[in-house]
Amino acid sequence: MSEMTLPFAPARETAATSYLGEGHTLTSWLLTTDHKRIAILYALSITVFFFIGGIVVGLVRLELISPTGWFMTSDEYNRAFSIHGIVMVWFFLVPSIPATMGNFILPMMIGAPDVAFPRLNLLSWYLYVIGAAFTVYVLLSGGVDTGWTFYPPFSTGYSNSNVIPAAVGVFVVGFSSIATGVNFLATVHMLRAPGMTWFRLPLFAWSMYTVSMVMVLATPVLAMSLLLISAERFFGFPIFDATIGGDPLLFQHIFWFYSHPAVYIMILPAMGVVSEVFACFARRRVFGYSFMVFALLVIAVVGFMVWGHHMFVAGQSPFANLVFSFLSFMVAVPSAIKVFNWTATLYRGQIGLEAPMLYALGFVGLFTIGGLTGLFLASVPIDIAATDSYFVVAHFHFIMVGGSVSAFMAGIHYWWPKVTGRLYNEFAAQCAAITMFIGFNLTFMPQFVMGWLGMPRRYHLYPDVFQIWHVLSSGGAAVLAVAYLLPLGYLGWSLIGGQRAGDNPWAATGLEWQTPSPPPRQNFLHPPRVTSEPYAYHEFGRAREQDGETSISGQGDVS
Amino acid sequence: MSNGGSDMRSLWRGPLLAWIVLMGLFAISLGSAYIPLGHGNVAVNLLIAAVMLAVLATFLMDLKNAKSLVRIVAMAGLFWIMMMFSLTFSDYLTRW
Ligand SMILES: [Cu+2]
Repeated sequence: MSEMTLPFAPARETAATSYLGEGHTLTSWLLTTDHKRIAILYALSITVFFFIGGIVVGLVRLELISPTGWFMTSDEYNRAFSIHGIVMVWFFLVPSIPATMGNFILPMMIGAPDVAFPRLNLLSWYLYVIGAAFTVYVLLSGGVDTGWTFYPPFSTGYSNSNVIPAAVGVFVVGFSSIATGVNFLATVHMLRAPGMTWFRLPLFAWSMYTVSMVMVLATPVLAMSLLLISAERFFGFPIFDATIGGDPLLFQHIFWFYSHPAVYIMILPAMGVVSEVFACFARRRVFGYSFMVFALLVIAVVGFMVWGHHMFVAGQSPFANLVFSFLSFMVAVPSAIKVFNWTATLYRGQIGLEAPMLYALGFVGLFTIGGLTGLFLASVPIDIAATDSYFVVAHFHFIMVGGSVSAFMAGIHYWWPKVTGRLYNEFAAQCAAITMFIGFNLTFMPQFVMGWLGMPRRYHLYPDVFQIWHVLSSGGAAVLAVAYLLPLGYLGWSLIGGQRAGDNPWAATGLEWQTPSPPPRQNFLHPPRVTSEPYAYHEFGRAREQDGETSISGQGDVS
Repeated sequence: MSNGGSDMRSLWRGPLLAWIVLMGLFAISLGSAYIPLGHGNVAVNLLIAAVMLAVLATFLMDLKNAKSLVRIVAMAGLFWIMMMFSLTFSDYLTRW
């Protein structure tokens, strides 16, 4: 794919009108097919849901301060953590990086004027909104009490809450992620600029490609599992109910066939983001680029073969436990490769500690702890003791919040100047990053301890000995809340009072920085052509020294 | 598109034939359920399902005329399903 003309090569735009200037009416946004505007629609919607999920879990943490419960009934508590899980997983984490930064940056990164199917892209946002509407309905009509996992027989036979509307919401939003996945796969295959060969793709583009594979292959299975739950609950089909010939474990197999890969839907994009950030703020080529690519691919594939580790104590056969335990250990290998390569990328780099870098460094630390405790849980004897304890809760929050949300914040800060054309207050952003790291550890480290001591998840009444850990954790949650609210302030302010960013404020390589900020409708003023590998920071630096340049011209790896 | 009529007819013929074959297989599968074969019923049903899958993939999904990339993707899908079933059966076939 070295020399070819693009079917949708950007028209030469002479005046740099930004995509933000292309109409200011509501319909110009709601009917847009511009990937950049759709990314912003997504960003606004997932932010709303992030704060809905956050407020709910704020109530949960508040309730847990007292060992006897003080303002929730057990039933209300069940509904609170259920809606927290559903909202955070499907309405924030799964779409978070792909639908916002993926949508905005991926086409620019590969030198394309848009995604392959712009209207499908808009449709995916509307599907998100429809799914979200169901979830809001569930929230307003009393909630759902099954946990985010919808396990039968409780969900099909016993729950008196809104199981079917909640399942429909998740079902519909699943199609939005399938649409995004299909779109990204086609985009990466078809719309790479001349010279952008597969092994010149930046790692963020690779992460979007691999995550799209997972989205397309896993999400239909989620849809299936929810459909079966609804069919059994509504029509009484004998699928999961053991008393009429069904098998409740079958649901867990199907559900986790999606939901374990869903963890990789959340973490692969995060890995892509921090790879970009590390290269830029260490001024170095990513160490072991091809290993990084293959690690992404291996994680995506092997991630499909480990789901049984969620069922070690559910009645799964001991032989299957052995197989899934082994495979779960295997999937740690490519993740470890990535962590070592990031470390090696930093080694002897010229490290700048701007906010995106602080978030990315936080990511690596927290992801590593999350990953290593995952190995504890992949081992059957430990998992038998730790199942359904706060140890598990802490483990997956380290991956999904410490990992994914840190990387989400890193990416938002890194690409903010490109998206908005404005610089935010660096000091405020650094403070928020550090606050988030501290708040996160304060929230979840105590959960490891109490989980190890035997505190089960999903209970709001607990023995007094655990109270100190719960109080610490709730205190941490308050700090975390501040850290999440701060960016709303300074990022919001940057839109009004922020300095103009210029094309390339971080002096980064990559095609997305070779165009005005905010970018024009077609992304590039001239059709881009790629002549070298990604992350040519050394060449970039040398060129700037020779020119005696102080300001950044943004020439990067493109001639 | 010079003679659209015959083009349309050839466009429809393949899928229509495939559909008829699928319906036939469906009838056989339904009929076989009424013949008491013991465990043989499951075997027959799985065999019919495999034939159905092959018909679907070759004719309705038109893999017989597809580019190699598309075929590779289809093979990957099949591999994925195999993975899913074999790992699931690592549970079901070894329970005691
Ligand atoms: Cu898992």
